[in-house]
Amino acid sequence: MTVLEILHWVQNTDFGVALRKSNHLVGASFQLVHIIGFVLLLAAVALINLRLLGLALASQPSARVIRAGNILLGIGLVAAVLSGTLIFLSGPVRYYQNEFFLLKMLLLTAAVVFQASLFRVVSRRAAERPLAGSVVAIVSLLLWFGVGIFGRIIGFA
Amino acid sequence: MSALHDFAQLLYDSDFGTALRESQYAFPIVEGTHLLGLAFSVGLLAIVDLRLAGVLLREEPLLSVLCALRPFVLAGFVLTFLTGFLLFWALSIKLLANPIFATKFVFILLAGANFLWFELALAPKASEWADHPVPPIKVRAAGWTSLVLWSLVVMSGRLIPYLGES
Repeated sequence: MTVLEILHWVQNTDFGVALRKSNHLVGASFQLVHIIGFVLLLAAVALINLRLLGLALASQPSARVIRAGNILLGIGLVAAVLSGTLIFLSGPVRYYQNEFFLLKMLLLTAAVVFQASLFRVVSRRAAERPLAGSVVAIVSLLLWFGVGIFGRIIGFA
Repeated sequence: MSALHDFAQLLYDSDFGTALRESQYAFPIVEGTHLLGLAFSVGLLAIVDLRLAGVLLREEPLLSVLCALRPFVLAGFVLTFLTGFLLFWALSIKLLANPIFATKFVFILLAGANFLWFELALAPKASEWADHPVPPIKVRAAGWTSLVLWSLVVMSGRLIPYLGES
């Protein structure tokens, strides 16, 4: 079974059909949760990385700022992923054939893996190694804001 | 209202407005940049609001959070308003005909009024409340009000394509 065949099957389940046939304001409400979650997520990413770059709150311990940022990042990510999954299920075949959607998913995977691995390790020692801290901060900003840009372009492709 | 409508028609019919409206990449890129601006303006402001509300970053001094994030919030608003104006340039007539677009501006005005109240009535007395982990009720109320109103601005903006005639 290919991915496309699986997605066709998902699209034709009762749940998939119900989502697709639902009032367009149902889809719009998923989009509202998605964008609020995303703005929160990006703001948390901005806060954490501005601190790591020494551009904001430099006099405060970075561990505390990062911890507070991670809570917001987590809430934003959960809201965006849950609403995003419902948006995807309303037309899985159409999304799968959209190259900007695929790019977004690739960047999202990279961003989550990076944030949970290399970023986590390096940002803890940012006080001793500020250069490494700055590098992971810039990579993190580019990855997450890239997810946002490609997400916004999906609807126009 | 008709002066506004004439101005919108002028923008809509201009070469630049038409080119942007019909472009394959420029329009989505402006849309994407509008979102990035929002992350800094409304997003970082939400973090300040949550600090004012006494929810987040309680151990950090309130004024240092406020002052540290202010330049990025302001830069974010500049980017958001500039890209917003470009989007209006491209879609002006359609936007004026969309009820949610006017609603969005009502929320922006209310958020602006809340900001002025904070700046003029609460901020001058900051020395009385700034060093508490949880600020007094008026300050917390200003934080929550800002958070709710700006969220409504973002949500009404996102609804524009769903409620307009197309």
